[in-house]
Amino acid sequence: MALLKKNKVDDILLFGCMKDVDLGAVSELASETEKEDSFTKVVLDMNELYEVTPSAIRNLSLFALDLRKKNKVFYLLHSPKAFVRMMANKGLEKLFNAIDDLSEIRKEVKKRKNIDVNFLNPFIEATVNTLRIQCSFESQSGKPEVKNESFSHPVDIAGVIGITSEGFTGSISICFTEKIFLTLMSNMLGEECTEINQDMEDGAGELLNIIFGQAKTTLNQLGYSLEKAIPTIVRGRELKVKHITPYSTFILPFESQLGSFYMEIGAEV
Amino acid sequence: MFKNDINILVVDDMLTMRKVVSKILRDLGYMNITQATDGNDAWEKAKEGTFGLIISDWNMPNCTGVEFLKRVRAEAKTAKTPFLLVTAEAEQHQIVEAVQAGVDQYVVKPFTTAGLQEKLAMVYKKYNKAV
Repeated sequence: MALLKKNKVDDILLFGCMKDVDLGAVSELASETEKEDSFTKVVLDMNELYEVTPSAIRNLSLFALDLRKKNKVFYLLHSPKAFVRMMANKGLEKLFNAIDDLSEIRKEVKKRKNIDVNFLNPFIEATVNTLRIQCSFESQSGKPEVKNESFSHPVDIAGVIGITSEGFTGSISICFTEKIFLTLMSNMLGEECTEINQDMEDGAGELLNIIFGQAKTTLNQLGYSLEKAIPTIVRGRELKVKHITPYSTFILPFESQLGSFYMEIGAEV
Repeated sequence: MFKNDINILVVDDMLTMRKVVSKILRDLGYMNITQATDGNDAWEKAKEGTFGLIISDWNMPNCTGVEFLKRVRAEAKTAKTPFLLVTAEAEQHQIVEAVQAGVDQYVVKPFTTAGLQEKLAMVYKKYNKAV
C-alpha cells in the first residue's frame, strides 16, 4: 500500500505524506525515487500534519545524503517547526532544506530555465567561432543536454574557469581528446605538435580565455555582469570533469572531422 | 605599411599567443620580433625606445597591457611608439579606458592574419598622417 503520493513538477520529484514518515515510508521514498530520472530536487511534503518517527530519522538522513552525492537536493515542505529545529541542533539542516512553499524552488527552476538559452548560446557561438578563426578548425555544435551520471567521454586535457558574479556563479570547462587538442595547437601555432607538453598547456587556457571573453561580452550586454576569470588547466589520461554544484551541469557537445569534444557548464543561479 | 625591418615587441603572458602573434608577423614579412611575458618585462625591454611597434595583450599578471601602455606614453623616449592592444574582450568601458590611455588600435581575439594586418595598416596610416 502506498504511504506517499508521488508527483513530478518541472525537475522536482514531489512526495506527499499520507501518514507519519516511518521506516516503511522512507523505504518507499527511496525506491520510488530510484525509478525516476531527469530530476534535480526531491520534495517531501509533510502537510503540516505528519512527523518523522524517531526510528526513521537515520534512514531519511541517509536518503538525503545519497541524493546529495548524486548532485540532487532534498527539501522538506511544510514540516513541523520542532522537527526543523531538531535537525538544525543535530547539524543536519543542510541535508533537510526546510521550505514553506513549493514556489520557493519552482521560481528557482523557472529562473534557471530562462537563463539557459541566453546563457548557453554565446558559449556555443564563441567556441565554434574561436576554433574556426584561431585554429582553422571546423566544428558543429550539438544539442545541449543536462549531464547525467552515465555521461562518459574521453578527455585528455581540459581548461576550467570558475566564475562568481551577480548574474552567474559556477564553472565552465572545455574538454578535448589529445588528438583534437594537438590538431588545434598545430593549426594555431603553424607547427606540428605531437605531444601535449607543459609549454603547450597554456594553449588550452588561452582558447578558453578567448571563448570566455567573447561569450562574456555578449552576456554582459544581456545583464549578467560576468567578471574576469583565470583558467586552470587539467591534464591526464581519461580525465573526469565534475562540477560541484547542487544544480544541473550542462553538456555542450561539438562534432568535428576528428571526433567530438565538449564544454561543460556547471551553473548555480 | 611598416617597413619589414622594424623592431616589434610582442607582449603576452601566454606562450601560445606570443607564438601566434609572432608567426603572423613573420608571415607578413616582419622578422625583428622580441617577446616579453608581462608589462614589467616589456617595460624593461622597451624603455630605451628601440621598438617601432608594440603589440601587447591586455590581461596579464603583474602589469596589465593598459598599465604598460600608460608607462610607454608617460616616458619621452617611448611616448610616440605605435601601440596595439590585443584583448579577448571588447566591452565599451574597456575600449574607452584603452583610448584614454593612448592606444592606437586594438585587436579582438580570435583574429586572422588579415585582421591583424588591417589593424597594423590603420596604425601606420595614423602615424604617417601625423608626420
